[in-house]
Amino acid sequence: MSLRTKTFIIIGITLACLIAALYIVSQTILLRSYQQLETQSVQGDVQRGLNAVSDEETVMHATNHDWAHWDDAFQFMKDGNQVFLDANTNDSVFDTYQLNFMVFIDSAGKVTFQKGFDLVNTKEVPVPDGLKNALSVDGPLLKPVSADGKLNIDGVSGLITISEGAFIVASTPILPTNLQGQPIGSLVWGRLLDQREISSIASRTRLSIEMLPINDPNLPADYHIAESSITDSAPIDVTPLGADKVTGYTLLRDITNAPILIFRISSARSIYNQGQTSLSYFLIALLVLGVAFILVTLVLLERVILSRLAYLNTTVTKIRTSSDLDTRIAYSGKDELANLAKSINEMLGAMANAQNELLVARDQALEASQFKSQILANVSHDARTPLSVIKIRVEMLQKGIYGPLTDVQRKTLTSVTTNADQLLGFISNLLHEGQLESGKLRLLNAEFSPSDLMKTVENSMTPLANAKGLEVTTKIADDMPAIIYGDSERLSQILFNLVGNATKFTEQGRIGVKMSLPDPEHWAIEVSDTGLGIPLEAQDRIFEAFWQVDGTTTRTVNTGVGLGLSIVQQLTILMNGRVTVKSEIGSGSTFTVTLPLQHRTEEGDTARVLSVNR
Amino acid sequence: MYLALIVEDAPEMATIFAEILQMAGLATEVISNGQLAIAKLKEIVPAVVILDMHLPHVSGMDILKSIRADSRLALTKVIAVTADVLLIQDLEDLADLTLIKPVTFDQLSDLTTRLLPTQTSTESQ
Repeated sequence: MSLRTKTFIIIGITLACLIAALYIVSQTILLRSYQQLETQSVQGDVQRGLNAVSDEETVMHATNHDWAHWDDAFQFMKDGNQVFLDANTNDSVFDTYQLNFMVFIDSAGKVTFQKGFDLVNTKEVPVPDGLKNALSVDGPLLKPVSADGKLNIDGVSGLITISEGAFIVASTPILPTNLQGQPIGSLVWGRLLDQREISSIASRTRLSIEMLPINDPNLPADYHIAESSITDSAPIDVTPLGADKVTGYTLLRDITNAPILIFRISSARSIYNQGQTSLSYFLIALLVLGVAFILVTLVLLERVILSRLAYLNTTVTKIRTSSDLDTRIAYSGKDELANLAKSINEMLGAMANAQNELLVARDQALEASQFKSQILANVSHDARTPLSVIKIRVEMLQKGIYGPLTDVQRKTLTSVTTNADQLLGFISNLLHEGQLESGKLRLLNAEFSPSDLMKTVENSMTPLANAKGLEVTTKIADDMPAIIYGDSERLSQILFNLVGNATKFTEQGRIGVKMSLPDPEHWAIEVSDTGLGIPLEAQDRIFEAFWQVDGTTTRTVNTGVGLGLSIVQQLTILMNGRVTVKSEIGSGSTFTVTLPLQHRTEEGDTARVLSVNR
Repeated sequence: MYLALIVEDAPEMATIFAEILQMAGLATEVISNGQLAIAKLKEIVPAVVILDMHLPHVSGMDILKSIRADSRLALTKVIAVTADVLLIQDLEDLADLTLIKPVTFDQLSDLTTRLLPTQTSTESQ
């Protein structure tokens, strides 16, 4: 993931968390405040509605009180004169004071005069039947009692329910205007609290008001729930009714303080919804600001850091791919990136110096190595010519070209040949080691006869082995081809080294050389001995140059620097083959060289090479 | 009689080559220097040239190339002698036979039968 992406993700997650936290906190705090405001507002509305109802009562009571403490009314109670009735109980009086009934009742509970009125149709109707029960002589309407338990001559006003419905009522004991003497009866007024009256109150208060009787069997569920929530300490219950409406409930009590109506105010949740809208705007503003913040941060980050990092990266990559340690990174300023660029430049300088030193050292080493190889090549070449002369001269002597030989002379010449061969092998090994090391060795792919190869090895090695009292046995498997392809000189070198090695480490017994075809694709040379054997832990290391089993290069057993097996292995690998050893201490060793059966190469070997045996 | 020109800077080696080839019935001439050999090859047409590749001043390869470039010497067999196995591949196309040092008596004495027709006469002088 790029630094850009990471930064983007980190800032994004941080901002998202921040916005979420802010949103949750603000929602909790703000919405709760809005809800409280809403509750307070609705409570205020409910109170306003209640006040409106109470105002109705008060206004009615004031007039009722005026009439009851009036000499004309007192006189009417005494004589029942028609003049009073005509003047004061006609339809226009009911309409003016918005009364549904008016009752003059004496102290004994006997009705002196009563009249009912239909305010809708403006005509006289009978007084509601249910009123009789409310007008008991000792009831709160006819015997209003003040706080000290005495008769309250100012009367009473409030609500009552009778079978016809709820009424606003006012009742005052009838006394002369000077208030002297005992009340002669009571004047009771009432107005039905019907939908018309409720609408009137609602329109005056600009509230949405509903009132339902508490014992209404069809009372809606929200009224029921509200009724149970209302207590004396919390007389107003405010409940949201869905997302758009909030309602406030309270109980209306009658003049005996018994609850009779559930009063409900409903209003739009404008405050709460305004709060939510504000919160949404707040959230949107936060998001916009957050995105802007991310963009600005990324742009700044890009300018101040990322583009410079990218430049650093490109330049370092360019230096790496071009390997040009002389390139330097351009930088300005003094911040960490500039310091990094400076450090990289210093490192490049140090690397360039180190590389130059290494190159000088390598050139020197190469020169030394080439010099060594050259000396090796020269020495071996120069040594081969006189050795060739010695060998051919001895050969000619042995063939009797210069006359017959005595047995002692013949034996001596064999000794000369053996030692010359050893010297030649030693020189060959040195030369080949040099060639192998410098990778200059090339292999031939010429035809040769395995039996010729075997004969060469036998002829050269048998005298050496016989001198130690060892027997040399050779065997070529019947299915070996008569002619195969390869580099017979290197093969004979492998064989000389293996047989020489076997001879070196075998004190008695025999050395066996065998050629066979382990499978149709390969042929193998096996050299076994009955010698000391090689410890298991040493078997891997015997192929290393200059190493013998006892870890020294002393020539206690026989001549030879420990190059032989190393050369065997390297030559075998060059021929795409492999050499393995099986050995046990005391029961001898068997070296097996397995090689691919080579075919004549495409281009062919036009000149036949007489690979000459040692 | 076939003529063998022996180009070899080591006198002992040259002597042995000459001795063995004479035994095989060839006339021999020994030259120990590359420049002299090139001059000599302008005069004579030997049946065989025994050419040591490792010579002072003029390399055996140069001599070999000049022989192959000379149409007069088209029938001349060249036996290259070298101890340097790295040369063998380069010699394949140019030499008729390559001997790797050290050489043996048998190889040398076999040379005539390997390379030269026994019945035909040569342009040797």
